[in-house]
Amino acid sequence: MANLVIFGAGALAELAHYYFGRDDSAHRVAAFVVDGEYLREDRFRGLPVVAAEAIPPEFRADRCLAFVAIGYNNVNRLRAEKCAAMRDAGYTLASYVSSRAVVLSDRAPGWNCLILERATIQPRVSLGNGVMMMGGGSIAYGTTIGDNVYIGRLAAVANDVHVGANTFLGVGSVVRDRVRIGRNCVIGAGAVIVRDAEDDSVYVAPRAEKSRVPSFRLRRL
Amino acid sequence: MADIVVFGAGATAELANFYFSRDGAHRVVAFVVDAGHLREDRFQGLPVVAAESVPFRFRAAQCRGFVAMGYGKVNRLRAEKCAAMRAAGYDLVSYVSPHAVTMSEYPPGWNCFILEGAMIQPGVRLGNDVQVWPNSTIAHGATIADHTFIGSRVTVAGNVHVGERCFLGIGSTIRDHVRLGAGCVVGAGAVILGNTEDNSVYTAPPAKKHDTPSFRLRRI
Repeated sequence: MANLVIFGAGALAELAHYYFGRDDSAHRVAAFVVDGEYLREDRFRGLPVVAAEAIPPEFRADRCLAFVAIGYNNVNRLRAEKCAAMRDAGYTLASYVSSRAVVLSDRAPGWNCLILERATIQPRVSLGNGVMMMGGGSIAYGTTIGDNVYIGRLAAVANDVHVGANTFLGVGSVVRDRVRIGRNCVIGAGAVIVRDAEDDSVYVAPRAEKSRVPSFRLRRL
Repeated sequence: MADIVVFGAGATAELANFYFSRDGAHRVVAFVVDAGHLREDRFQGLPVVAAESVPFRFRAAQCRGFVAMGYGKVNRLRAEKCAAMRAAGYDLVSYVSPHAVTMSEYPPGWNCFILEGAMIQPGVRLGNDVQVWPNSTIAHGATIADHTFIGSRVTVAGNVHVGERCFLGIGSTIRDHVRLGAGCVVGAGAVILGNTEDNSVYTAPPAKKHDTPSFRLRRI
């Protein structure tokens, strides 16, 4: 079982620490790494937090793998940058695939991916590097997911879709078959995408309407 | 475990071969297509034969069948080929993924294709030739009639009735106690709150494109 350092000390780092600590993980979390200017506390989840500029020898790339646990900040580019920096520092980046996910593609995942419980990935799906798949989502056959894509919970991507690098798919969003979504797009929660989306585009679902009737006046509920 | 011939040689046939082989449920020995669609004599490393002249070793006396087609002509094509294969004497098998959760006391009919992550609650009745794609949920007491296609991550609530040959697109939602007529098409992400007539088509409002490009968004 290899030791692992997690880059980041926020919510996603906490989640990564939890998952990499489970029985289905091939790694053991040894420390958290943050940029020096973000170093606030020297312990997080009971483990040391160290500055990226001054990593103690026991946590360096010759002793540890790494995982970059940064969310979708700056439309996933911050995570991409930190992955590049950690690789430059010599780290091999690890992925976590939940034993409760069903991954049926032999082309997935790459490095620094997080594939959580109940995700389903059909045959002939290609997943890039740095892909975060938050659980319950589905990706159908023949679809390509670019590097650093973030797939929110229960997002559903149909077959033969292409999702460009760094794109964010919000919770419960839906992408129909054969659609091409560009790079750096933001697809909001529950949005239904039925046509191609250009690079850098932002799509939002229509909001639910508030009924004028309060819930205690509803007759049938 | 039986030897089976798969009708079709497209994406669904490829997937059927993948799933049947992976779980060792049945052994796919050949693909069958209508002679007019016979392009190559091998697919997925197995023989492709014309339905009009199936060699003896792949006939119904030796093999069972599975019709692996999508929702062409609102599932009518698949329904027709199921009928043709049954008329040729084939016993049609179903596939239920070991990663599906099936809790209904009623077993699915023939030629069903229930994929990983599907959840079929107690009291659900699945007809013949029903496809349920990954991560879809069919809640208690719902009835799904023959030849219906249910895409990925569809939610069918309790006591719904879905008529024959319906298409429920990816991410669609049917609320409880609703009745869908036969041959309905429910588009990707559509939400159905009331009964639908036969052959009706529903689409979700598509997401709106924002004027702001993603690099101008402040909070992401």
